[in-house]
Amino acid sequence: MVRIVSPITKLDEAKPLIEAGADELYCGVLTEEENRDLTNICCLNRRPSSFSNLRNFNELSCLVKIAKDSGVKVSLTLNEFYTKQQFDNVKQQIEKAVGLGVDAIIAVDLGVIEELRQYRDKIKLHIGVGGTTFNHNTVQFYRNLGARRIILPRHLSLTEISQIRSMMGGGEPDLECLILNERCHNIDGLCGFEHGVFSYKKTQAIVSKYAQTLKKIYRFLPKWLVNFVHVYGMEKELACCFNYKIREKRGRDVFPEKTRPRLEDFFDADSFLNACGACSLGELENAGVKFVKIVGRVFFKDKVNDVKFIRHCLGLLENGSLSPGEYNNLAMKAYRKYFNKRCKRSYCYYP
Amino acid sequence: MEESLYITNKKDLCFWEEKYRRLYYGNEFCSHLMPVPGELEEILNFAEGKNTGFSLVTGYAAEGDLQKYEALFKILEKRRPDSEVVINDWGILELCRDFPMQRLLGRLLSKQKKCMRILDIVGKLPPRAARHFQEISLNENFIGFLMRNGIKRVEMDNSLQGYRITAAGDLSFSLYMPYAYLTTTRLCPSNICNQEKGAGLRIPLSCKRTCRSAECLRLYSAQMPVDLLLKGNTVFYESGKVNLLYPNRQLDRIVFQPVIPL
Repeated sequence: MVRIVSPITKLDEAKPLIEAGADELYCGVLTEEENRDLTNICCLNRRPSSFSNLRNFNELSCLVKIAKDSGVKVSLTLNEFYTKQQFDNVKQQIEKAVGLGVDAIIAVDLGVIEELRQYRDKIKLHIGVGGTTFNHNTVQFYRNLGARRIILPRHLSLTEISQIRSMMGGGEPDLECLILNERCHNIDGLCGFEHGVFSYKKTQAIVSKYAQTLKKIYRFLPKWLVNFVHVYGMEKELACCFNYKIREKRGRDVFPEKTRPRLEDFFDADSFLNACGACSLGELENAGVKFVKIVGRVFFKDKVNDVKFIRHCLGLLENGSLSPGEYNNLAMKAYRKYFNKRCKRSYCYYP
Repeated sequence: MEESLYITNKKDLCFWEEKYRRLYYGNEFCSHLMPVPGELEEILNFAEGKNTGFSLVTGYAAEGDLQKYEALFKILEKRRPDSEVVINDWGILELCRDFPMQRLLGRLLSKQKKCMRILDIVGKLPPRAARHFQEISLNENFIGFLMRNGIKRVEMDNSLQGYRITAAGDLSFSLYMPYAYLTTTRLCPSNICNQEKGAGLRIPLSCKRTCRSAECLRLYSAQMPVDLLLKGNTVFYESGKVNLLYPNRQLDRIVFQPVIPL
């Protein structure tokens, strides 16, 4: 059965996530020293905010202990591409993670992957989405460098995933696919948009100071307000979701007026944020995918609810007596129940 | 400084001038736009006639594209084993290992900070953080990997915030001008206009190459300091003045793109 990998951004989420059915947890760490020295936007993982990361390695140590007591594994994200300015901090994070007994590091930078060779017996290497593994040759490339798992890019069809699995042969690395939230329209790993700029410019000091307090009170806010803040934040923060206008156009028009709204789909924050691949869980499993990852290391996302939803869908599949059509209907009903809104075709992770 | 011409369509051979020492041909962003074998032969004939160096530009490759790339490499091996292959997918590097061509690290893998939003903040950042945004992500381990794998040249964009070349070793650098790529996708915006609204963004199974015959769209937003140029599946921006912060002899090649390379 496919296993669920869930994000975690604060320590008190650990037990509820494990009880909800998470098989593995992944997190990042952004310490005060790093934040002060290189600022949040040079964060060592792809979530440049205090909201999205554990505060220090004491918290990571506690998380590892809680998780191990329940037989759950923990991965640390070091999934950026690093300049010389950052690399000493990266080495320190790796050493600390190894010392704390973290199970795996999610990496994409060749420098980090090389660095991890010396720790091969102590910590596993998982290749992140930004590793852009679009074919079995790339799997072979990472396999040669010691990868034990590869998280596949969003932009692969179910057929392509199946082809990769069959061409790469048996054994490791295992394959992991994204299943819920944040279906980036651009290719993660080949995208140059810089996130975190808005928070640095406008609110960085406040964010750093009050992040932990805000993390605690958000659960008491009404859901509509949380959703509004989420969408507003994304539209301000993510350059890929800005409300772009067309300034000029010359030559033959590839986007005729009547189809122009479809271009807006490309910058649509709603379908980006609420993406879901639950209907494809069975096909992913048949394709040889062993892990599904819930995206979204953001504090205001109800991660426990996300895990419960995917666990519920896996339960439906375990039943074994449902036809694909029956399963899809039940999965869509479950989406409505868990997220209080209708599933839309535009949300589909694997259309 | 060596000057090269980079085109993705054979009709753009008209931009060739005698000053160029090398011809780049291929496509970094879309495998549907990669040359077919017959087209590559024609381009190699042209390069031979001009007695110039040749670089095949490759992109990221889905499983079904690997055979196409292999066929192109076989032609190069036979006709121009002295060619360069610009690698933008680690799987293509694996495929290329069995061939004699020289391998270059393409700009999709050189991981330069290039978002124009950096312009808004780079002057306000502490010095180390500002410097982070002006360097390519080539840490010492990465450089060691490149050297061991026979990659001695790195392709880079002319990012607006300026950049330094501080990489040790025998690496050389090429600078692409005047179009810097910002982001790319397989959910091609040119293609989704043929889909029903709200159908979701799909990976196109086939392609009519409509991007080839259309001009780019110039997009703007109040939050972006410069315009974005959307063509086909990729977003670019213009950067026509060399923004190298300190002179460096490792930068020894300019790759000129007369039109957006798609």
